[in-house]
Amino acid sequence: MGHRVLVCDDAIFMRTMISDILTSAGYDVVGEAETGVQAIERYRDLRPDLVTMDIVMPDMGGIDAVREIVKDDPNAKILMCSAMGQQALVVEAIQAGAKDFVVKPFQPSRVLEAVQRVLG
Amino acid sequence: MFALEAGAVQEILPATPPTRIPGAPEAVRGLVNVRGTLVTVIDAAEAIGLPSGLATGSGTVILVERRSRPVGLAVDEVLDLVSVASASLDDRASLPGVRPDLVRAVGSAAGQTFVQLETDVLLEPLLP
Amino acid sequence: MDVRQYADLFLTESRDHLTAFNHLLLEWERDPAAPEPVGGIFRAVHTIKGMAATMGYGAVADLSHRIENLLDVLRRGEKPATPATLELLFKSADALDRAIADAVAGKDAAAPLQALIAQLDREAGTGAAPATPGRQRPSAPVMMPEAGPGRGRTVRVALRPQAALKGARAILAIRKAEALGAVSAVAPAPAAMETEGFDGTFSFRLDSEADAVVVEEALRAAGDVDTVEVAEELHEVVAEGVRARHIRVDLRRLDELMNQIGELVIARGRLASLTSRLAEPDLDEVALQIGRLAGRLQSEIIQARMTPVWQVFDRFPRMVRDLAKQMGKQVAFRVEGKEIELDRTILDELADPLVHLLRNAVDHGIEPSEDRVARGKPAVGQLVVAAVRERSSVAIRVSDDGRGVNRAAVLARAREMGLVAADQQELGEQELFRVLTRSGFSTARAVTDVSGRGVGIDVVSTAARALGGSLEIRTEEGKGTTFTLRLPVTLAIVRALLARVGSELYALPLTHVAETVDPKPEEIHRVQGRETVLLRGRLLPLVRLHEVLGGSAAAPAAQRLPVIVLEMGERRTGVVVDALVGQQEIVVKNFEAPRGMLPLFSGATILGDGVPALILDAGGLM
Repeated sequence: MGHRVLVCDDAIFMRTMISDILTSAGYDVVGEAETGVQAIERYRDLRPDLVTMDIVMPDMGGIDAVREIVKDDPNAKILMCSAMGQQALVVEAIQAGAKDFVVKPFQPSRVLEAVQRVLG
Repeated sequence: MFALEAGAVQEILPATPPTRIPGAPEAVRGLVNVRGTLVTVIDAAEAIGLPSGLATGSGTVILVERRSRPVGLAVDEVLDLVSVASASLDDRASLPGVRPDLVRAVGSAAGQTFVQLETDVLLEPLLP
Repeated sequence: MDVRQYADLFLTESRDHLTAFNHLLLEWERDPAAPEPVGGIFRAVHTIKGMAATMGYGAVADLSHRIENLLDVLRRGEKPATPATLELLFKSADALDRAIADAVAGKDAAAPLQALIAQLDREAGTGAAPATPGRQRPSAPVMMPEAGPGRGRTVRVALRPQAALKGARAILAIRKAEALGAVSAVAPAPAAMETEGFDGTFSFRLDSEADAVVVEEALRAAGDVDTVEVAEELHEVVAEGVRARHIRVDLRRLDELMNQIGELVIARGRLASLTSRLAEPDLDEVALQIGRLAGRLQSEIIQARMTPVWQVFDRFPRMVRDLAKQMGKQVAFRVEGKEIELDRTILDELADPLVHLLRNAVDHGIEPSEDRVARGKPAVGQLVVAAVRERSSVAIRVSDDGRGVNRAAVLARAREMGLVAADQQELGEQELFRVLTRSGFSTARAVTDVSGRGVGIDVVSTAARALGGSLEIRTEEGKGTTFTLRLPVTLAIVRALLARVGSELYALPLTHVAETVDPKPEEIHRVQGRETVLLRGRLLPLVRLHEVLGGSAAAPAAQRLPVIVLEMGERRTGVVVDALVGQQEIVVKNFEAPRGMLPLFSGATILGDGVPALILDAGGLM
C-alpha cells in the first residue's frame, strides 16, 4: 500500500493537481484541507505519512498549522508548497518544523522527488 | 538678476527632471541624484516670489551648502562670476518686487544692478 | 612601547568584563549559595586589574585589587555573602566603570575612590597589604581566545544553479547537518542567504563524529544540492581555526564601506539595464560577473555589521534591578532571544527606546507587591524583553504583567485635548494607539499619574519609524501591556516593492508587506465611508495612493486594481497603486525633507536608471 498523504491548499485547483501527481505515482491521498485549522484537525484524525501544505491559507496560515501539527507530532513529515518570492516564509516554515519544500509552478518530477526525500 | 556669494556655491549643474516630493511647497521642485547623493532642489524664482518661467528639468542648478548638506537652487541661467569690492555692495537697499529680508546687499556689475541673496532666509520657509 | 594605542581596546574589553561582573552579581543575588558567580566575578575583576596595570592606570588597578581581595575571602567561604556585601559589590562595579572611563580620559585619580576602598578593606578584613602579591601580569592586553570544541570540519556546499529559493534550501541543508552535530560559523549568515545576491554556495563548521560520506548523504537529502565538500583538517590546524580571530573595527569604517557598497549595488543595476539594451555577449558576461561579486560583497558586509542583541540587552538586568529597588517594586526580569542579530546601527538606535519602555514598565506598569496580592496576582511582577526573528524583520517585545493602560483616563484626557469627539464613550484599539503615540499627549503629567502609562511613547514610535520599523501596543487593563517593536534586519539595503502611481515610482519595503492581490473594481465596497475589499473573509480597508499623494493625472480605470497588503501585527491595510513594477534591493538614503512633506516617507533611494524614488513608510500609510 502506498504512503498516506494529506493535501492542504485553499485552491481546489491546486489540491486536484497535487492529488493527481501523487495518486498517479502510487500514493494514497487520504484527505484534503482548505484552511490551516482544517489541516490540524485532519492531521489528528488521519495521522497521514505526509502532508503537503500551502503557505497562504485563510483562517490559519500554513506556517502556524505546521507549528501546531509538529507540537502534536514531532515526527510529522510536512512538505511546504510555496510560490516564488516567498523565501522568508519558507524559511519560517522550515524553522517551524517543515521537512522540505517545492516551488510553484509545480513540475510533477520535482514534487515527487521532494516527497521521496521527505519520506526518506 | 541675483547673486550668491561664490564661497557658498559648491557646484553648478545642468538641471535634470526631479522626483516630486508630495506635500512639499510649490517652490520645492523635488529630489535629484548628484553622483549618489540626493539633493532637494528649490525653484529660486518661486522662492523669491517672482513668476517662474521655468519648466521643471530645464535651466541650471546651483548647489549651495546649508548646514553642511547640499541644497540645489534652480535658476534660469548662471551669468557670470564677478569680483565685487565689499564696499560697492549697498546695504539692504529695497528693491521693488523683492522682499527686503531676502536681500543681503545690492551691487552692480557691468552696468547692471544685482541683488545678493540671503539664502538662509530664502530657504528657511522651505527646509527645516 | 607606547600603550596609548591600546586604550580603546582596553576600554571595550573592560566593559565586557564589567558586564559579566554585573550579570554574575545578579545571578549571585538570586542564589547567594551558588558557587559559580563569585568565581566568574573574580576572574573578570582579575583580568581588568591586569590590563589596567599594564596600561599604567594605577587607580583602576588598585580598586580592582581591593575588590579582588574581598571576592577572595567570599570565594573561600571565610565570610558569607550578605545582602550588604552584594550591595557593596554592586557599588564597586559602578565605581570601577567610572574609574575606567576616567582613566581612559586621562584622569586616573585615586582620591574619589578612597571611601569605597576603605569600605572594601573593612569588609574583607584586610589592611592595605596586597593579598595576592606578585600575581600582576605585566603583559600587553590580549584578547581572550574563545574556547571551541576540539574536533570539527569545514563543510562547503553548492546548490544547483537552477534551484529555486536558494536561501530556504540552504537553511534546510543546515538543518540536516544539525541533526549530525553542532553547526557553527555559517557563512554567509542565514540573514544574508535570504538576500538576492546569495548564489547558493555556503560553508559551515560541523562538529560531528559522522563519516564524511554520511555528512554528504545527509546534506544531499535536503535536495537541489550540487556539490558537497567535507574538509578534514589536521588537529593543529583545527586548533588554530577554532580560535575566533576577531579584530575590532571602527563602526564608521563599516558605515562608509556600506555606503560604498550601496553605490556599487546601484551602479550594478545601471550596468545591467545598459547591457540588456546593447546585447553584447562579452559585455553581458562581465556585467554578470560584476553583479555576482557585488552581491557577495554586499552579503559579507551586511554580515560584518550584524550584532547580537545581547550587546545592548546585557545592561538591562542590572538597570531593571536598580530601578525596581529604587521604586520599591518586586520585578522578575527575563531576556529572551539574546542571540538574534541586528544591524549595529539599528541596535544602537534601539537602546534608548528600550530603556524608555523598561523604565515605564517598572515605574508605572508593574504594581507594588501589596496591590498585586490584593488583586490576586503573584507578588512579583514579570517583565520580559524578547527578540524574535520573523520573516524579513526582527520583533522585540517588552511585556509586563502590570496594570495595563487605564483606558478611561486616556479617553478623558484625549477628550480634554480635543483628540477625540467630546461625547466619545470608548476608545478602540487603533484610536488608543493613535492617542498614545501622539506627540505631546503622552508627556502630559496627568495621564502619567492616572493611567500609569504613556511617558514618551511617541518617542519610541518615532524612533521605530525612523528605522523603517513600527511599534505596536497591546494592553489589557489589570493584566499588563506588551510593546512590540518590529524592525528591519539591516538598515541600509532593503528589499522593496516598486509601485507606479500616475507617472511616479515609489518603493515600499517588504518588511510590512504581507502579499499583493488584484481585486476587480466591483469587488470594492464602501464600509463606514471607507473603501474596503473582502479578502479571504476579512475586510481590508483600502488606501488609494494616488489620492493620498496627489500629483499627476489619475490613471484610467483598470480591469483589476493592484493592491499591496500591509500588515502590522493585527492591523492590515490595502494600498491601491496603478501598477506593480517589481521587487528589488534598494539602498536607503537620507535627504533634506522639505517642510510640509507628507509624513509618509522614511527616506529615498536611487533606482537603476539613476532617478531618485521616495520610500513609503508602512506605518504612515496605515
